[in-house]
Order: sequence, then structure tokens, then C-alpha cells
Amino acid sequence: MNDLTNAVSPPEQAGRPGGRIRSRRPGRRVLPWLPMAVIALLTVFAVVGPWLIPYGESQGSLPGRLAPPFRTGGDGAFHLLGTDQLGRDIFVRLAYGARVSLLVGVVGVALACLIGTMVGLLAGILNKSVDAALMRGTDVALSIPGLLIAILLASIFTPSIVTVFVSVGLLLWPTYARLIRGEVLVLKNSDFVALARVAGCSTWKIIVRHLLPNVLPSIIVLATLQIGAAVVLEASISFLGVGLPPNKASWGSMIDQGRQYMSTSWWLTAIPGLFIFLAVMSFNALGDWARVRFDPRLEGRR
Amino acid sequence: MNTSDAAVPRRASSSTTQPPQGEDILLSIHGLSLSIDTARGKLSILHDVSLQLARGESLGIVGESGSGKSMTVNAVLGLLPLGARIDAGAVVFLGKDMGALDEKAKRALRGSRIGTILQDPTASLNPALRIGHQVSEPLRVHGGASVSEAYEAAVDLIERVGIPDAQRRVRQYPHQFSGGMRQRIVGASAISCKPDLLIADEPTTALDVTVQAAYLDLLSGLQAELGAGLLFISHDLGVVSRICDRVAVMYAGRVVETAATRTLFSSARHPYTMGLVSCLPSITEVGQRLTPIPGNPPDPAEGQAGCPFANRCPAAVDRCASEVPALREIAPGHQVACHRADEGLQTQQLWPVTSSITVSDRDDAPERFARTPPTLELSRAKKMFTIKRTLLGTPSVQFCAVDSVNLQVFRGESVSVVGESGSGKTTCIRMALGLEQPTSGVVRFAGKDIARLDRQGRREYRRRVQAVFQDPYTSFNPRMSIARVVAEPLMELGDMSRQDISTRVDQVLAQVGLEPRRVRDCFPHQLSGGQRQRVAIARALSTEPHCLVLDEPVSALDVSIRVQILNLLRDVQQDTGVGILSISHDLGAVKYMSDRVIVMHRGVFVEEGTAEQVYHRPQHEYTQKLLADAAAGHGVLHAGMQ
Amino acid sequence: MLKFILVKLAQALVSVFGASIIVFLLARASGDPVNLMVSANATTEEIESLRATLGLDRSLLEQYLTFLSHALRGDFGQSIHYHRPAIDVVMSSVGATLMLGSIAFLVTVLLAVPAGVYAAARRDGRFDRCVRGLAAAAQALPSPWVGTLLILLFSVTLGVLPTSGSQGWQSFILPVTTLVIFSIAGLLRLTRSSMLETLGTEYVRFARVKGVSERAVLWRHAFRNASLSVLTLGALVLLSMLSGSIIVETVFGWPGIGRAVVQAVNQRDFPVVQVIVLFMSVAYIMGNFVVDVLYACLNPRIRSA
Repeated sequence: MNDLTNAVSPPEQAGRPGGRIRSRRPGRRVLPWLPMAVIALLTVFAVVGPWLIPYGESQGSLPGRLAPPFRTGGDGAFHLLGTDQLGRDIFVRLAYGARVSLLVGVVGVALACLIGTMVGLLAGILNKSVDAALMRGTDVALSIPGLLIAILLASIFTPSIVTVFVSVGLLLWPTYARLIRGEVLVLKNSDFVALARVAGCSTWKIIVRHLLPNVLPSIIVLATLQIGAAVVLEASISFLGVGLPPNKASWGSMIDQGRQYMSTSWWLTAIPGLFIFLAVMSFNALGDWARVRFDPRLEGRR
Repeated sequence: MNTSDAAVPRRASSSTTQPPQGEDILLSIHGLSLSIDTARGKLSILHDVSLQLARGESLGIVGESGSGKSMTVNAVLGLLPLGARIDAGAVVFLGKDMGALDEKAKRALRGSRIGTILQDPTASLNPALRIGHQVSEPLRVHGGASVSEAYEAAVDLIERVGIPDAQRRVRQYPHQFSGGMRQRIVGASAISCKPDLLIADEPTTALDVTVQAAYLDLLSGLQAELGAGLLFISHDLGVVSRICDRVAVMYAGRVVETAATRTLFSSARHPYTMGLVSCLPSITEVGQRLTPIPGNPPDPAEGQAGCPFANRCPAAVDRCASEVPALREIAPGHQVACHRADEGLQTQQLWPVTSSITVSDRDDAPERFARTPPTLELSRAKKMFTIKRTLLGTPSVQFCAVDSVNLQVFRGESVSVVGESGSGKTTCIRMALGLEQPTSGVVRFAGKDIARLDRQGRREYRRRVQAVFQDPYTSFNPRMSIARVVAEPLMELGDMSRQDISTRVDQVLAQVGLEPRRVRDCFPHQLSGGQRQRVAIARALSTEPHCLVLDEPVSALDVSIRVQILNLLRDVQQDTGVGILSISHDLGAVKYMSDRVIVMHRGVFVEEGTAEQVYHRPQHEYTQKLLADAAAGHGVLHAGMQ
Repeated sequence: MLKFILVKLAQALVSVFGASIIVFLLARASGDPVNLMVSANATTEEIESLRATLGLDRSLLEQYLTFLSHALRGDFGQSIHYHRPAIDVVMSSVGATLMLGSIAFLVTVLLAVPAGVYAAARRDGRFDRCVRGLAAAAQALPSPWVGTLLILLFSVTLGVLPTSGSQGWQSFILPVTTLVIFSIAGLLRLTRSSMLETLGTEYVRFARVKGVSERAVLWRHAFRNASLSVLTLGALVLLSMLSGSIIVETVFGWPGIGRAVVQAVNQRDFPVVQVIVLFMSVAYIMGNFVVDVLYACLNPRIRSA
């Protein structure tokens, strides 16, 4: 077989024959440093902010209420971003709010991811009737507007961060379920899975070794994209007053509480909103980058 | 095979083999160089390509993937992909420099003066528009025809390409037509404005053999009727030989040889062309062994110093590695880009055809195993698929993919099932592999029903029956390294230590002609198609199987790689005595590697016999037609070589 | 095609059924309504007799069947706060929400679809980058904030538009704008990506080699096919509008069901909440069904089957 030994060229990148050569798009491979920096800063702010700022979360003083940013309030204390209608320091409340937002973003999405991936995997792998049943369930879950779920949960249980986690998880899981099911259905019929079956792999091994590693990039990309959605959702829930208890700081409830003082004290609503905007924008930018980098097919699916 | 005489195309034997000159020239490409900006930097795709085509003439461009033939067509059409740039040279069509025309002027030529047929008929037609609309679209766009005029014209056009009941058919949608019909519709659209130039980009590649021949006839008929020039792109020399007056062979972005079709087959001068001509398994006889072109085509990202073919060329000399040979005329109408073109190199010297050991000569001939039960056996196996269900879910329309077939594979023999798409051959092997349960009938491994194997029997079945699939790009989990891919079947059996498995992996990788140290830690996307198919074979061999089940093992590969893999499979069979069950639509490949051939048509085996019998004395009508059509597709080859 | 529609209809009915179960269970889980209905000093007998009248002493399944049969007749019980049938309370505010939602949906579609198509046509061009940037920003803007800032700017500072209510066309401008900003990004990205997908197909290339103009390639060949997936997922935009309307109606004091549901929750008026949740999910499921039927009509593969 000596005519074959020189058949091996060095294992270079060999494009698929007939495949299109993808042309270069500038800036696709560099890391999105700006959003990453914003997210890192917000995280640091959330973790150490409450320690560094010499005010408590709900420590207020009525004489010092509604102090504008960068001014000393009526009670003689300096507040970097001003105070709210109860004289509470906005900066420190933003830090506590950042904790809530980031926590809800991560835990809520993780929950959604867990439920959605399980349902999607089961629907994709098991037989057609299970698939149909699970997909109908997903449709029903999708059909109830997300905020209503949060409102209902809040009206049934005492509002706490846990109900917010659950609301976010319940709202976001169907997207995962649909995505994972679609990918699993394609992968399940792929040649390499058929060959794995010929090699004697059990269904469990096929899931762990062949299906999950191949859907993982999509899961990660979708998760990044959904953290932004979760942050907006948390803000909306808190805005409606069905999220955390009223004395707890959250960006959404800060907007709500500031609304009444809008005509005189714009900073009460403007600043928390800006934080939401920056955080969501950064997570979305990161997610978009990850999508282009890892999985261009995900475009438009949210 | 007397049918092949009738199929010898008239055009190849006609005398219009001189290159076009003067006013007759319809299209000429002068020194075209083209590059693309990609993430990997600037890639040079075409180097100094020059071609000419006269009115009424047909020119074939032949090359493997990456040879630049499709990009040449794109340049002619003025439809370059994003990032592509013409660095030098020009395309002159009807006396106009295409490069100097603006987009609007180029668009006015496309569809009206240049009719184009693309490769994939199922993807070329818009699923949301009526056939009539799509066929007559050039008339509406260029000729300003009204909707009703266009529809009338569409009826005529569709009739002309041989689709009956045109009045009704124009109002239908693409999904209501078969692949062959869709390609005819695409052809009808291409000729609707009576173009001066027809471009056909691999128009028959996606079609079945029996449809292919008729389509080529239609195409050359249309060309003759219009008096148009035809630019025919293909990777298949055989097909090109049937329809083209002249052939240009492209390799790595260069034209390496152009000649009249007959000259090219009888006296090619470039070693690559000679290799391609001799690499066609269809012209070999049972038991012959071909010499494949070794290695892989060069990567366009790597700069070339000398002749791009030098590292694969058995006739290469020092000069070839440093100096790019220019395309020069060595006889009227015959141009070659090779330093040694004048030295009278002979095909038989460079790419010798040797005789190989035939089955009966081997020690492990099937007879030796005949007394043991067959490794794999399908016994009255039948498979029905449900196409439609009623609202309640009970099947209302069923399709019988495989109808009660009997098939036995013994160790040491090579059995092939040949058939067109939809004949049921894939379902057959999926049943043999246990991937599909037969509706009725039994699949047996070593005499035992695979549905009733105990744990031990199942392990033995999984160990002794392995598979290689058609597409080397989808056969691997993209996230597993080559070493893990190859080791997977052994890991599943679980009776070897990690160390032993690793040693075995190296051993089988070496056996299939790969260097274990270099490929072990690669991921599939880092290997070429041919290399991946070797890995797939290595994986299948790792458990010392008694039967390999192959699903079109070479049809996704380039011509020059096919023979490498076919030879490898033959060698493996001789070395290990493994039985092979393969399916294919490629009669040439089947003939090259099979002892026993089964012809399958619409779910049943219509003919079965030794390769010798089936190819030389076909009994069944369908086999005869299949062979005739395949031979017709390779007209000149048979006429020229036999 | 008839079969396709029937299957989809059956699926929609199953979904409605599922939604009704969820609504029923949530209502039961939300606590004993009797406690809200009786006075604090009621005797145990009084409570028990009320339970019996309400059917709360029967099994969950029986209760559900009663709930279902009443619901089918439009009877969801009395609103605890308003002391009239809950369905009437809801029906009086549905119109305002539908009005707001349909105008916002129309504006969203009219802006997002052409923008998505042209962005895809000139991929990575100036327009595309611009549109993508705006979409990303719109997606990150929390709608309570947008609404509040719009009020601050146009009502409080400039004083040109009303802060709340639904009187006159001026009062539509700010809520519609907020709702459009809320939902436009999804549809726009979807249109753009399905256009990019169809523009890369072989039949678009074939249209180009036939000399079809770019404009016709874009709309006749590419958009016609892309519109199918835009249509299917366009239903999700409608859904997000329902969610968005809860926020927007709260911010702008819009007398629709979004505000009504928030008020009802605060007043612990569960019959009203129940009706609204059920109404919203049925609206969404039926919207999806209509989209499926439209899809079948537009897709020749299904139409001719």
C-alpha cells in the first residue's frame, strides 16, 4: 500500500468541496471588549458597592430627600447620584439593584435552560407522541404572556426573589425547548449518530457523547442572549410592584417609585433606566458576538 | 456492449475540433486571474485562465472541486461572490468586455444572451412561484412580454423540453415535479430568450443515470437548434466527453490542458489529464487495478512556486517545483501546460493498470466460508413506510421501500447492490445494520435473528458488523478528535484497556494510509474528504469486523480520490478477509470492487450475479437499460478506449 | 390543505384546553376565595355553606368541569371588587387594548419588515449597521422607562401630548411608540435573518442569472419565501404585544385589560384575573391558528396537497 502513504498531506484546513468560501467580515473575531468591560464593572459594583458606599439600602432621611446628583442633600450628606423620595442614597440602591438584576439574569436563565433543555431533549429523542405532547405543553406555556405568569405567581405567593426566579424561568424555558428539540431532531438523524448506534452506543451515551456536546454552543449563545431579556423582565416585574418586597431595591421598582416625582426629580427614573439599558445592551452585544462566533444559525431566534 | 456504439455522440466525432478563430468567437477569456478576500487572507482562485468559445461550439471545463471551474463561470456571468476581485485579464462576450459593463448592462445580457443551468434542480426553482412564471421570467424581464404572452411562451417552452400536458403543468409548483423534470424546466427557462451562449454548471450531477443520458441529449439538441455556444462545467470527464467538442482541464485554478475531446482521450499530454482519464473505474475490466493520483489538490492559501501538480506527478522533474509551466500549443488546437509535454509521456507508464488477484485465486475465497452461515443475511425482508396518515393517525398511504428481498454476505466476498435513488438500497443496508426494523422478514447475523440476540450476541454483532457512510463530512461528530472517533467502537465493546485501544487506533490508522501521529489529535474539519473517508474505514476496521457495510463509500469524493479509496477497500479486503456489502449508484465503482452484483429497482432485486455476468450478459431489461444509459453517458470513452 | 387546517385547529383546541387547566389550577392555588368573600366575624357554618354554594367542597376534577362548563357559557363568576360579572368587567376594557395593540402591531410591521428586507439586501452596509444598532438599542430599552421618559419629554416638559387616558388621537402617540419600541427589534431581526437565508439560496442565484432586477429578486423571489417564516414567528410579536400592553397601559393609565389585570391582582379580584389570563392565552393561541391557516394559503406545498 505504498501508493497510499503519500496520500496524506499535512492535516491542513481543507474546505468542503464546492463549499462557499466565507468572506471576511471585519471585527468578527475580536472579543467584544466594551460590553465585557461594562458587565465586569457592573458585577464588581454589585459585589462591593454596598460595602464601599456609606449608606444602607433603606436608610433614608426625610430632610435629605430628593437631593439631585453630585449635590449635598438637605441633611448635609453628600450623595453621588442623589437621593430618592425617602432620602435613600440612589447609588447604593443601584448597587443592590444590580445584585438583584444579575442574580435574576443568571439564576432565572439557568433555570429556564435546565427545564428547556430537558424538555427539548426528551421531545427530540423519545417517540412521536411524547414529542407532540411536550410540544403542545410548550405552546401552552408560550401562550400565556410572561408578565402574567409573574403577576399570578406574585399574587399567589409572597413576592420574593424566588418568585422572580421562577417567573423568569417559566417564561424563558420554551425557547430552549424549541431550539434544543429542533437541533436534536437534526442530529438524531445524522450519519455520525447512526454510526454510533452501529458501534453499539446506548441511547444514553449517544445523548451525552454526541447530542449534548453539539447543542452546547447553541445553549450557551441563547443563554447569553437571554440574560438581557431576563434583566428587562425583572425590571418590568418590579416596576409593576409584583417582584421583590417594596423596601428592597430593584432597578425596576426604582423607576416605578420615581415616576411620581418625574416632573421635579428626573434622576429618580432616568438613572436606574440607564443602568438597565447599559446592562441589557452589553449582554445582548455579548450574545450577538457569541452567536456569530459559535452559531450563525441562531440569528433572529430569541 | 453494442448499445454503446449507438450512443457515440455525433459532435465528438465531427470535425469542428479546431479552436475558434476570428469573428466566430462568442466568448473569450484572456489571462483571467481572480482572488477572494477571506478570513484566512487573500486566496488566489484563478491564475491566468484563457479560454475561447465559438458560436455553435461546445466547450467542456473539467476539474475537481477547488479547481476554479465554477468561479470561471461566475466571472463570465459577472456574478462574483462577496470579496472576489478580478486581478488581471478580461472576459469578452459578443465583443464586449464584461468588466467594463455596469451592473445594468450585465443584467441585460444574463438571461437574454446568456442562458444558464445550475447544478441542483431541486434548489434552482423558487418553491413559491408557478413553473410558468419561472420559465418565462427572462421573456418578461428582457423581452417585455405581457403575463399572458409569457404564459403562452412558457407552455411552448415546457413542451419543447419534453414535458407532456404543458397547458396544465405551467400552473403547477416546483414540488410537483421530479428532479429530472425540474432540470428540464430550468433548461426551458435558460433557452427562453434564445441565448447566444448556454452555460451548464454540472447540470446532470444531481440526476440519476437513466435520467442523465436523456438530459444530455436534450441539452445538445437545444444547443444545436439555437446555434448557441455551450459552456459545460463538470467534474465528470465521461459526461463531458458525450456532449463537448473540446475540453479544457482545470487544476488548482489553472487550465492545464485543452484539446478536442477525442484527442484528449486518445493522446492527452498532461500527466494530470492522463491520470483522470485512466482513473475512471467505468472503463476497467473486472479484476483490473488502477493507479490512483496520489495526494490531494493544493490548498489555495499556500502559495505555489512551480507547477501546482508537481507534488502529485509521477513525471515531475526539478524544474517543475520551481517554474510554472505556461500553457502552450503543441499541436493545432491542443494546448498543454507541462514542461515535459513534448517528451511523449505515456499513460500506461505514469498510471499503469495492473491486473489484480481475482476472488477465486484468494485463499480466503468465499467458498471457504460457504459452509458457515453467512455473516449477514436478509431473509424475505420487507420495509413499508407510511407516507400519509388519516386524521386519526392510521396509515392511509404506504410505500413499500423494500419488498421481500433475500441477501447473503459471506466473509471474504464483496457484494454490491446497485440502484438509482429511491430504489430501496439504503433501506436494505439500514435494516442490515439494525438501524431500521423490517416490517416483515428477518435480518440474521451469523445465522441468528438480530432482533432476538442476547447481550453476548449483540456485542458480537456490533463487533463483527461495521459501517462506512457516504458523506465524510457528516459521518463524524465534529467535537470528537480523530483518535476518539476511531476508538469509539472499541470503547463500546469495553474489553480492551485504554493502552491497547490506543495502540489499535494507531495500527488501523496506519493500515488505511494515514500517519497516526499527525491525525490522531486532529478534529474532522481539519482533514480533507479523502482523509476523512480513510478515517471512517479505519474506525470500521478497528474491531476486526467480518462484514463491512458501505453506503456509497466514494460517491462524495473527487474523481482522483475515488480510486485511492476503492483500492484501499480492495486491499483491506484481501488483507483481512472481511466481507463487504456496499450500495452504490455508480456502476463503475461497483464493477471495480465487487465479486457479486445485485441490481435493485423499485424495492426488489431484479438481477443478481457475478460482476462478470451482470456487466457482460445482463438478463433483466432494467439492468440492460441501466448499463446502456451509463455507457451512453461515457460515449467517447467506450468508443475511444475499447 | 383542509387536513392541515383541521390538524392545526385540533392542536389549538388542545392548547386552549391546556391553558384552561393552568388558569383553573392557578386560581385554586391563589388561595381560598371564601376568605376574601366573607366578613371577618363569619361563623364556621356560614363559611361552610358558602363553600358548598361555590362548589368548593367537591373534588378538584368536578370543580374543574364546573369551571369549564361555566366558562364555556361565559360565566366566570362575580368580580369581587366591582360586584358584577367578571366577564363584563373585562369586556368593557378589551376594546381599548385591541385598539392600542392593533395600531402598534401595524406600525411595527410596516417599519420592521421593509427595514429588515433592505438591511438584508445590503448586508453589512451603512443602512444595515444602522438598523442593527437601533434594533439592539430598542431591545435593551426597558419599556417602563421609555414610557416614563416619553411622558417627561412630551407631556411634562413640552406639554404637547396628554400623559394618560385614551381620549383623541394624540393620546395614542406615546403608548403606541412605547409598544413599537418594545416589539420592533424581534420582528426586524427575524425578517433580516430569513431574508439573508433566502438570498443565499440557489433559486435566488438562478433568478440573478436570468437577469432579474435586484428589486424583483428581493421582493418577488426572496421575500415571498422569507415571508413564510416571518409570518409564523410574527405571532410571537403579537404575544409580546400582550405582555407589553400590561406595562404600557400601567404607565399611561390606559383603560385596557393590561391595566385591569394589574389592578385586579392588587385588589385580589381573582375572577377578573382568571378571565384576563384566559382571554390573553386564547387570543394568542387563536392568533397562532390564524397564522397557520394563512401560512397554508401562502405555501403552495400545503395548498395543493
